[in-house]
Amino acid sequence: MGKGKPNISNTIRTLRFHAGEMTQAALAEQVGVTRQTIVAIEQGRYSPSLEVAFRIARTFGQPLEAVFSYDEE
Amino acid sequence: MSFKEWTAVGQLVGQVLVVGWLVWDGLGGGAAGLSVGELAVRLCWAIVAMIGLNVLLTVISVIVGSVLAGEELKDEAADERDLSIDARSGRNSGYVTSSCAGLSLLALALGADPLLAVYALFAAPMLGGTADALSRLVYYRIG
Repeated sequence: MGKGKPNISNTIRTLRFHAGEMTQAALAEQVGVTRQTIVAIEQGRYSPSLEVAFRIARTFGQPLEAVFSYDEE
Repeated sequence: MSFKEWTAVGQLVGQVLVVGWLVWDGLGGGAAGLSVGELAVRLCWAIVAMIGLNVLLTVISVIVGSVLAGEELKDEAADERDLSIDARSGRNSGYVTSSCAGLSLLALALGADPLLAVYALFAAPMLGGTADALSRLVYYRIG
């Protein structure tokens, strides 16, 4: 994580909805992190490593930039 | 709150209780008439008691957390966020512990009562543990 307020937003909530209302627990299990980490990422409180970000994107069958975006301030 | 946060709550309560006892004992003249060695032995027993207290409080806090959550809280394998929080909390704990230990040595160098210095030396890791538990709770909330 860089310094200061993270400006990485994501569409995980929407993607979970379109994946048959996949639960945070199910996503966490597929990605290999805890449910609390998925909650923190979804709420924008935690910016994941590149590896976890790729695993999340792959779970939804989406490219990385469809899941995460960097917002310039 | 997760299992790890509730265990941090248990740890925090334990540290606060021990530091409270330490202040109460130290200021209440609990070490009066003891030699430095005798006080050190007493504090070593306090460490043993503290380990038991921490185990008990951890179990109690997880039970309370499970009741409040309405489901059994289970520990999960640590992931990258847990490891990051561990590292940052440990760093804060290290700062507090080493600062307090340094201050106790400084107090000795300035001619303070060695019994007080022994108390301060015992308090250093206790305060470090408090900083660790507090840091975990804060970091799990903010990031």
